[in-house]
Amino acid sequence: MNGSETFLAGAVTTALALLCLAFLTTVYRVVRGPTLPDRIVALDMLVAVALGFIAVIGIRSGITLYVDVAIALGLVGFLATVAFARFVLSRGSYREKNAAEGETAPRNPEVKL
Amino acid sequence: MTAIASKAVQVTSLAAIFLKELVVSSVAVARSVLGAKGSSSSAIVAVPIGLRTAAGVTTLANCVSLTPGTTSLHVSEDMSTLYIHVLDAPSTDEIIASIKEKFEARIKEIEA
Amino acid sequence: MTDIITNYLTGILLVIGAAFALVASVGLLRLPEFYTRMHAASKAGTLGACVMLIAVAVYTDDTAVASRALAGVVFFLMTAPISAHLLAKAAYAAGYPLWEGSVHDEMPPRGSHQKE
Repeated sequence: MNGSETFLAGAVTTALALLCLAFLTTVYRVVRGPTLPDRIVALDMLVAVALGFIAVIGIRSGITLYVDVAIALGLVGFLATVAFARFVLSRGSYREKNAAEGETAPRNPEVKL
Repeated sequence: MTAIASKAVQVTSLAAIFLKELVVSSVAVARSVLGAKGSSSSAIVAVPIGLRTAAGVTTLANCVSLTPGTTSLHVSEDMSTLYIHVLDAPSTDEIIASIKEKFEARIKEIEA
Repeated sequence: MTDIITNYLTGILLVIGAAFALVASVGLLRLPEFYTRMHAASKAGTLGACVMLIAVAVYTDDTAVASRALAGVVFFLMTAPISAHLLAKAAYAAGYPLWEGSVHDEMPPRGSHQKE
């Protein structure tokens, strides 16, 4: 094993460690909230972290098919976030439920996405 | 033929600037994240835009979202105003000027 | 010789990408509210994932794999701001408030701006 291969192996280990930390902090935000959009942003971030994991594992194992997995995961993550954004809208007003401002908030059916 | 070539050059230069801005912006976000807490003063700013096509507005909104401290929030129905959320807004005029100069001028050239 | 350069470049890109992913998640943890957290996730997070996919493109010998990895990068760069925009717009329309550190809000009140 020459110097550059040792360096790559070390870099792979470092990257995996950093990604693990990133994964844990993001999961903490998903659990903690406090609001629905916070959780959705954190889930979106989890997809990015998972893409990183897939890239590292693809390099480490030499199985390049992982790239296709990464592309598919990116697509699914994007669609999930779009669907969640729709859900935030259709669930209705945050103020209506949380503050007694007496404001009559419309449920915004006319918002075009 | 030269028209196509000059358009290609314009698109390439926009893409290059975009990539540079993406890196700069990530570093800026990193700095504001790792810096002192409570230093950021965020705001929603209305940016007047003068683009004619929907594709131009889409490109501008996407570029704005990936550049330092700004994320596009909403475009008015008549495509005349872009509302952006700014992470740290000491001066709104500066931000509007930098968006206009960096991206809008170039997109306008490509549109024309 | 090329192998050595490839190995070093791949390693450096992997660590940079992972560091950006970590910065983005720390941003999710530390920033005060949803709209500012979104900045961290949509910029640093995207760049982190993209840099790591570029590392795969650099590492592989197969052109087909490298081009697919770069296509993935372009796709991710195009969709990340769109999903951030949609989410922010939905949250704003649903009335999630800005935090108290916000200096101003030039957007017209909810409900009126949709019918201009």
